Amino acid sequence: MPAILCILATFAIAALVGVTTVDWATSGRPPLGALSIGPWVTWPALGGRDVDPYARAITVRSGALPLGTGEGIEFLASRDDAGQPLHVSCNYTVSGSMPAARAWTLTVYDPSGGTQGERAGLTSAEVLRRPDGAVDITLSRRALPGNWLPLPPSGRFILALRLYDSPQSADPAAIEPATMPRIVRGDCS
Amino acid sequence: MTRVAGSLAIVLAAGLVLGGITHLAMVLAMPMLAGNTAFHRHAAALSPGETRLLVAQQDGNDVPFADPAVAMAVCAFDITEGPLRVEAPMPEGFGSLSVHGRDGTVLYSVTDRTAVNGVVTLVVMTRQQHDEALAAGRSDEASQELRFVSPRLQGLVVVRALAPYPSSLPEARERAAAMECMSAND
Repeated sequence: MPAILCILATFAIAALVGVTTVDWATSGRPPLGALSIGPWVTWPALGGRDVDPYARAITVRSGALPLGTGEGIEFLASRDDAGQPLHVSCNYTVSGSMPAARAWTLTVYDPSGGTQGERAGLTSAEVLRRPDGAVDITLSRRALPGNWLPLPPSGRFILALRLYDSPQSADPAAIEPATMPRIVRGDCS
Repeated sequence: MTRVAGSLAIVLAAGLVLGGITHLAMVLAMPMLAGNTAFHRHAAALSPGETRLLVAQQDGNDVPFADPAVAMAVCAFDITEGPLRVEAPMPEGFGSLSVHGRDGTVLYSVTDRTAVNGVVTLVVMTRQQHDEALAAGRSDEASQELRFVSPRLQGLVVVRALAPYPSSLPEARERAAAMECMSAND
C-alpha cells in the first residue's frame, strides 16, 4: 500500500474510534464513581470539586446543574428492587422510611430528564404517612387514592430521590440500605 | 500478500492508539468543545449582575433532571475585574446556593443554614482579591458574609428554593429570582 494511503487510513480510523467512543462515554450516566444502594444510584463526586473528567464531560454536555455536596444528595433509579427496568406499563410502590434529611422529593422523569405534566413529583411535606412514619407512594398511569404519582404515557422512566440538607451528603456510602425506600413492581398491563 | 496484511495491521494498530489519544483529549477538552453547557446557555442570555429564573416545569428544556419542586435562579459571573457579591434571600422551607465553574464543576455549595437574617451573602473572589480584602480588613462586614476563593474565573451562581407544596411554588420562584449578583467593588 502507498504510504500516503496508510497515513490517511490511520487518521480515519483514529477519528472514527475517538469520536464514537467519546460520544458513547459522555452521553448517559457517568461510567466511574457510582455508588449503588439497592436500585438507587448516586455519583458522590459529581457535587464537588474532585469530579472525574468523564463525569464532568457528561455534566457539561447535558447542560445539567448538579446538586452540590453541601446542598444534598441525588439518587436515581432506573430499575426496581428485583432488577427489572422501570416501565410505565406496570404499577410500582415506593415504600419505606427515608434517610435523614430536612426535606426530600421523589420525581418521575422520562429517560431524557424531562418531566410530564403538573404532577411529576412529591415532597416530604405533602406526602401522607403511615402511623410508623414510613411512606407508601404508588406510581401508576391510572389515578389512585393516597400518595400517587402519574407515569409518562409510554416507555421507560427514571425515578429521582433527592435528599436536601442531609447529614449524609458528605458520605453517602454510610447510608444504611434499610432506610432507602424499596421499589416494588405491582401488576402490569 | 503478507506485506499488505502487515501494513494493514500496522495501520489498524496505529489508528486505534491514535484513536485512544483522541478519546482522552476530547474527554478532557469537553468543557471547551461542548456547545450546550449550562454556562453557554445561561451566561449568553445574561448581562452582568442579572439574575434569571430557570423554569424547569413543563418544557423541561432549561435544565435536564431539574427538580420540579425546586425553583432555581442563576446568574453568571466573571471575577477577572473584581469580586462578585451575591445576596440571596432564603425561602421558608429549604434553600441553597451553589457556585458552578464554567467547566461544569460544582465549586462550592451551602444551604440556608449559613443565612444571616434570612439572607445568604456570598462573595466569590480570586486568591489575590481575597488577600486584598484581608489587607483592607473590614472585619465587621466579613462576619456577615461568606468568602469563597474560586479556582475558576468564570461560572454560574445557582440558588435553589424548595416549594414544599405545589401552591408555594410561586413564592419559591419569587425568592429564587430575588437573588442579587453585583460587583463587590462598589
